Amino acid sequence: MTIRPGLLASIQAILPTAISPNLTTGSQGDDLYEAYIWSVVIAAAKNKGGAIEFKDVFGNIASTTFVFRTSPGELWWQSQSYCHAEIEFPSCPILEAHVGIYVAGRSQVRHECDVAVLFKSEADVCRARRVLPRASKVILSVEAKYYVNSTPGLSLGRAFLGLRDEIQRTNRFFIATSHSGSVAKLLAKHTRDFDLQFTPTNPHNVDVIRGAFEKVFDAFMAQYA
Amino acid sequence: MKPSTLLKNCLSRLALNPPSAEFLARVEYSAQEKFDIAIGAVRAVIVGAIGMQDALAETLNTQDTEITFAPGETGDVRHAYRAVDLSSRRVAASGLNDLLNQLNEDVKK
Repeated sequence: MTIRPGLLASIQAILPTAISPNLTTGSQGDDLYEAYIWSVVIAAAKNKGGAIEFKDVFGNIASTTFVFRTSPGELWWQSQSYCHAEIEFPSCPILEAHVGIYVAGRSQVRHECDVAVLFKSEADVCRARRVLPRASKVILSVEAKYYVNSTPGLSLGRAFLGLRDEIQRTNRFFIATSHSGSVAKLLAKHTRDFDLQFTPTNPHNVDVIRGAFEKVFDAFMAQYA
Repeated sequence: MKPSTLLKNCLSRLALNPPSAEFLARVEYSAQEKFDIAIGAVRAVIVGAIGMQDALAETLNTQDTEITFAPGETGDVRHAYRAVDLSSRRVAASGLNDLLNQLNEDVKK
């Protein structure tokens, strides 16, 4: 192994100009990662002919400001004008895509969904009555793990499998930035809906998962055809 | 029991009842694996982050609107960015990506 002269010095020199001042902690990368996955869900809906509109929690069209949650919250909270996307497919009930909301599981315990797509009618009831959406009304959800300096531990895989039991098994995705052999082995026994190398630097992985999201929307539309 | 007899008994028992599963043992990361994790981390935080920021701005169809991350139930840190401000970092991240590719090639030679 011979590293070409000056390469390490060039890397050191370029790093300060390349790094985002807003992404200096893991949690901030995590926030962006969840919003990014949400954007891939929106892209999948668009590819399937969905009309998209961005709204805030007050029902206004979001055009001048877009606010995402850094930690989970109730869908109806109005402390900030958190935004979500409305997705409308022809002849289908309207859907909403949210980032970082709580959902009621089968055991009536609240669970966090990093990304969730649910019926707008359910979200309207939740905003009006200040209650949690029911997991049965969530047609797609994603558990996102932004791990950059280590690999996801096996406990995360186990927790996800438990969560699937609580909030329905189908269309629940586990998406992470860094590969873990043991988590992949565990999840592969139970589901196909996972990817452990999902980042824009691996465009093929993003394409595959976007395709999986598109299939969820296909199945949703087929119910109303 | 003589050691030779003990060994013979063990071997015959193993032949009758071969182990049904492998034993798991903790294995340290190799130097190559540590290198891959470190390079992957730098790539994800810098190159990947720009890609995610751009993709989100494109979805929201905005270049100059602030995209804000505000606390939900917990936390008090708020951060924001505008896609229009990313241009210089986008160039640097692309340059860094090329350099990391070169480093990867050199290490694997």
